[in-house]
Amino acid sequence: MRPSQVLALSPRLLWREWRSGELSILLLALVVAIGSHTAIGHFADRISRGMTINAQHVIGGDLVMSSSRPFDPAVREEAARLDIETASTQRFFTVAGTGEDILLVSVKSVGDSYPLKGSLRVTRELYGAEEAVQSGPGRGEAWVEARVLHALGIELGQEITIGESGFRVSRVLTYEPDRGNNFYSFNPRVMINQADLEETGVIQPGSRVWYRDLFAGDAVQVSRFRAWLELRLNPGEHIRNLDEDRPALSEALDKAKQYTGLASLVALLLAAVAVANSGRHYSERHYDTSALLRCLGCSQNDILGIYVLQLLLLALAGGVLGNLVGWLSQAGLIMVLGSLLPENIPGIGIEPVLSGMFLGFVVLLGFTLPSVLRLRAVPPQRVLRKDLTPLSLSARLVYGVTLTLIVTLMWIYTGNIILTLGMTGGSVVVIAVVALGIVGIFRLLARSLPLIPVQVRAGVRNFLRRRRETVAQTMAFGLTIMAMLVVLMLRTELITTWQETVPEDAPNHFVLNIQVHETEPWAEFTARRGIDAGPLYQVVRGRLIRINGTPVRDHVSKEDREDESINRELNLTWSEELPTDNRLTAGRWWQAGDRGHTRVSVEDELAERLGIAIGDELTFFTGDRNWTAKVVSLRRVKWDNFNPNFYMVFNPGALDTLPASWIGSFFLEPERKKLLVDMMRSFPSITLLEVDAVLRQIKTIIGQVILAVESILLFVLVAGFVVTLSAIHTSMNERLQEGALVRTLGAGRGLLHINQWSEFASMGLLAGLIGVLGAELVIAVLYWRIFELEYSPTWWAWALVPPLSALLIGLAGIWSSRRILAQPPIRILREAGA
Amino acid sequence: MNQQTSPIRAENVGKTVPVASGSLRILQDIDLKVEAAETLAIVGASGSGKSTLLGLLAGLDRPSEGRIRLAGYDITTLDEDSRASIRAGRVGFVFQSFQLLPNLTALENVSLPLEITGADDAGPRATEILERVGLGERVTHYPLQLSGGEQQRVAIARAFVTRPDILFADEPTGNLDTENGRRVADLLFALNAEHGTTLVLVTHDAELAGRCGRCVNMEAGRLYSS
Repeated sequence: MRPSQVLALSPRLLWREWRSGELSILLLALVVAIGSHTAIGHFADRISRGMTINAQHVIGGDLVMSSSRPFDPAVREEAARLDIETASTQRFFTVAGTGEDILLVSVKSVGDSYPLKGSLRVTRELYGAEEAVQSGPGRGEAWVEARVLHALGIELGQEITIGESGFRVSRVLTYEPDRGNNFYSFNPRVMINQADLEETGVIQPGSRVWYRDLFAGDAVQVSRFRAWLELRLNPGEHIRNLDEDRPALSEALDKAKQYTGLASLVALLLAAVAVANSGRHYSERHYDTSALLRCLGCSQNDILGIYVLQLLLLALAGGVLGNLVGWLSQAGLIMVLGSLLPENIPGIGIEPVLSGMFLGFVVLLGFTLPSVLRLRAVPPQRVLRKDLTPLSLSARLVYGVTLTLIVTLMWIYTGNIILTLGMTGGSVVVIAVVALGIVGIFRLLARSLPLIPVQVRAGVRNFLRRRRETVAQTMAFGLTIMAMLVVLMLRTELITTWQETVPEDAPNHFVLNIQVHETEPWAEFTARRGIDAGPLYQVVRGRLIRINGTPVRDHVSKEDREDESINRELNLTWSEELPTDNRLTAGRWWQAGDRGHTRVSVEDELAERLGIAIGDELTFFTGDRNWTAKVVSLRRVKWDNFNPNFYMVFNPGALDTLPASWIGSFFLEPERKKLLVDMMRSFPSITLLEVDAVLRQIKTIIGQVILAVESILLFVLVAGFVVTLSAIHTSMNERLQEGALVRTLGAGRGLLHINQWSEFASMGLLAGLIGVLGAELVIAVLYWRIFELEYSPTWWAWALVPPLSALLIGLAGIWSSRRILAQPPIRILREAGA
Repeated sequence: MNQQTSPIRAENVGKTVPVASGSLRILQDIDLKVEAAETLAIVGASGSGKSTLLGLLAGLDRPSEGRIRLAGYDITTLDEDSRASIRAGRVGFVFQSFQLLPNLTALENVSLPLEITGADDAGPRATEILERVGLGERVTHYPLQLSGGEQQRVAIARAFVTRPDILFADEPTGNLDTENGRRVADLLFALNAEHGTTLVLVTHDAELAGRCGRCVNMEAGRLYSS
């Protein structure tokens, strides 16, 4: 045949086949696979971008640059050139006064564009309703934290002075997006307009000021800008983005992205199973057609051309329909979930569409081509002798190609070679173990056949007799169950971990400066009002002045001289046990021999910045005297766990002789905020920090991450379910024929039901066991290498999944073979004969 | 085709197939010549090798020994694709099990050989011959909606639609009752006469064989003249 004839004949034959309904299962498998894949793709892409935008609100921009010196104007020029928005802030310690009282405050002056991302929150009365605002105070105004009002004994509307200028206090500031984590050690905030800064006269040459510029813009431009900046950073200048500024959030987002990648991958593997299965069925159905076409004069290449073209057309149709289904599903989901999702979800990206189309072609061609290649080799004598089937291709070649294809696809989609090899390795081991296991089980079943109740014996015998098909189908079900279990188990573990990051009742207020005589009244006050207050920690305020006898400023590099930790008093505490969420990275915790000595454990990042090592002697200044402590350990601290955290932790007894105060935290429901007025009246000297706004923001993001993960699981489950049904459907012809034959021989409804049921249930039970085993292996590898979680076997899965799978696959089998009972046997037999 | 030579010629043909215990000789020493427009019946018991011989003569398989010429070409050494190109448009088939494609209507089944050869008028020609075999009213029916006799008539229409020089029929009435079998045979011979086709027919039905101009017997892989 001429190529043009092949081109004309192939779609014509395809159309005729489509019209007869025979292609629907293959197309359905493909559409569901691509649909779930693109739905996950779109949904995850949009949610992830939305979440990242929300998360960036937490740092006030995409990128933050900080320094103790004003920035080179070239930085802003470059940002402007790349269409990146800029907002600058200056922060310094100074004294705010009212004429009667003064207070050491941390002033932040902000420009009109501040904040670039997220919003400030303020109230118009003390502890009143919060409102979100997109810019800072106007000229001549100051926004202050509630504790400034308490400390200075003023009310909103009154005036404070900063340097030479007077400011009207117009709002209470409750949240600023880029405040950072170590909130409880900060001096109270006063925010003013940048335009007023110069007139205060506070900033003079030599004044200590922290400059912080925020940048936001298109992701590509921002990363280009960052690269540009990194080459020109002066000593003491730092750039940070979300990853560095909010590690816990960033980690949650990263894990969510990895999870999404994995879920996508699972949808992909399910697609492969479904398509390979339907493809094999499709190919086997065409043996007769191919033989006939050969008789009528088609060459092997004509046959190949006809079917490959058909596959391409199917892939195109599957790709377009799958994309449509995927798009509709994610749009529907986003519409239904509505208010729970991040605000301003960005539009749909082109990437999932393209990858969906690409997937259609790769999966369909990759996984059915080996079967279709066999069509080329169908001997024409098959028209005379039905039993002639084409020779199989080399199994090594087929499996080699398929495996390479899967690994490549996984790699492309996850961008993670370890994850890819973990999943592939796990699956290969599972398949090998399962193949051996199945052989054993088959032998065992065959031997124990006489012991099996006579009612189900026929079903089990069927199961054994169709060994090849049964093994293939059981493996397909097993892998499907495995994939779904991996996604399910991982989701449970991740969500638990995330929820632990910010527990429901995490403290949303911190109190500092509780004096020794106030500790009891404090306990009484909180208990009487039913406030959920945590323990109090004894804290000594001290400044680190020497390391091994050398003044700290001389000990550290020039750029680290401005490190806040050496320019202000630190909160020093003692603890018997290693604090929760802390991890030793070097040295040891207290031993009996430490009693009577002063020992200290230092936060590891600070130790690195200041060049502190185990065994060093640190000298602190407290009140009126210097004292020293020996470093015995370094600790990694989770700064964003919403518990009091410390740079320096001493051994018990070390701080006993020093002037101390107590700090603590408590949880207060938003509707009981007014209690704080009462609290401040009863304890006028304490410092109260409200962190509920920060906490709420983080909880929202974590909640969104969880929701995204749950929804993705839903897609995977739907894909798995449809794939299972399609797999059963493809094996139906032979079963229908047998069932009809058995019926003509006089078998009743009940017997047929039991036969079908026991056959499919055996398959389901075995597939369930395979699935759980495989999932455990894969999860163990993933936890170990990717998610850094602790693995323990999932007993519920072993107990629940195999029986459930037997039940569901048994039911699905009965449902699919209902035609055996619904149609006259003669009709089924005639169809089979044709 | 070279009209001077016989359209089908087999010389000293044998066929051996591998089996578990070694090899099995299913045809041996077959010499056969079929002249243009001749009708030949190959009769014999089940398993005697009739269908294997038909497959070899039609170029669906290759002999283990000897030579076969089909439509003037020596097909013994040709590969399958070359043999297929010789079959295309020149050779028609009618099978015992009809071999209609279940997803195609009667009309589409009959059009298929014409579509393969790239004919522009496949539809009208297929309709015409379907009318000729008495199925003009059933062109849009699928095989499953037709009786066995009707399906075989569709198969005959498909075999003749390309006006082949040679027609191979393998037990064409084997799956039909006596009445339908007779009708199908009538049709087959009538069309054969109209088109002047060379017909090779495998059957174990003595009556059908009797309608052929010549009859040969297969017994245990050997051919004997009747």
